[in-house]
Amino acid sequence: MQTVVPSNQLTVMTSALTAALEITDPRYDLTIYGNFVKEIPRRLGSNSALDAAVYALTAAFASIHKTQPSAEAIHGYSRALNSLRLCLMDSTRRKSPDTLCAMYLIMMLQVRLKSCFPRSKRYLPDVGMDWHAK
Amino acid sequence: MQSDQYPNHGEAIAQLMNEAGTRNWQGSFETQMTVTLCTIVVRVEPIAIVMWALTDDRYSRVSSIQMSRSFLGCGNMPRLLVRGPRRSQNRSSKASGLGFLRAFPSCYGLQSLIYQRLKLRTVRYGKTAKQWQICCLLYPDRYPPRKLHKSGCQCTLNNTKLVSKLVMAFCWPKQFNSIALSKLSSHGISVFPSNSCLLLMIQSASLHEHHDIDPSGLALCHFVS
Repeated sequence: MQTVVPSNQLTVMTSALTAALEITDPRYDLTIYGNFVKEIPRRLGSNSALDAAVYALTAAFASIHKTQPSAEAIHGYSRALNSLRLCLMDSTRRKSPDTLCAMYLIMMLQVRLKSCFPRSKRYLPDVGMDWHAK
Repeated sequence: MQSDQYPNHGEAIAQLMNEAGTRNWQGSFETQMTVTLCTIVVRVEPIAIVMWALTDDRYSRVSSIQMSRSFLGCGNMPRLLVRGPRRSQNRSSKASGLGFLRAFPSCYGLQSLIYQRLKLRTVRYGKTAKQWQICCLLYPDRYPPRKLHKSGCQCTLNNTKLVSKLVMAFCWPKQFNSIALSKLSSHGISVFPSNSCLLLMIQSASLHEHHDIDPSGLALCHFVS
């Protein structure tokens, strides 16, 4: 009899990130972005921007590995960017370390996607907002 | 088209870091992230010297001369300093604007020279107002810099990781970790720790080892430079 383990988007994302963190090949090693990346799985679920950034990162991972651009990777990036912008407009969440981490992950993802898929550059905009003016 | 008045990711991170300076982040996640975001990536020279200067309450009033003296007092540094001016007389070093290395033997005014060259941000965090001032000096070698431009870019990510680990190894537990030292040595990185700063010398050979690594780490340069 097949056992079905209950899961939701958060658990799927957490396991995808945990699996990605186990990779030691320097080309795909996520800890190269900093040792603190190892602690991200336990922080998921508390900040929507961080969740979306991790989702984008894991969604783009396969695409980067295969060096084939995918709609999922671009969609994940724009969703993460949208979520980050909403977070930045919230004065409380903006000062959270999770938001800073999300922005860092998105920045690194953008650089990585741009270098892997130069033709996709126009679909990978910057944060492009000045929250001090809000 | 997006206007230039809007920040890119790097500038946005810099703004968030400035805001974070008023908050007392104590956890390891926050601390490690701060260090990583403060890390300047090694530039594109055959041999680069990276200096981490930790200034906390104890060192905040240390003058540049005092700092230079402590800098001189560490390990094998004097020998390295003697090599500086001789090589800086090479044509390649003049071409890349490294003439300031002549000031190395005396070492006076070293701090201000570094700041003038790199214009780094200083990031404060925590109520104790610890400051990390991360400086990178370029050290001329027998190879012309242009030849090594690409490989230098490619190794930036790896260097980020190493430097981040280094700081964790040396500065938070305030003692020198011999295992970390030997590991770094195997990566072609020599470390010269002193009371107030940490100097890394990254050898040209280590820059060539990681051709497969992409230049994503350069993004970090955007906001610190």
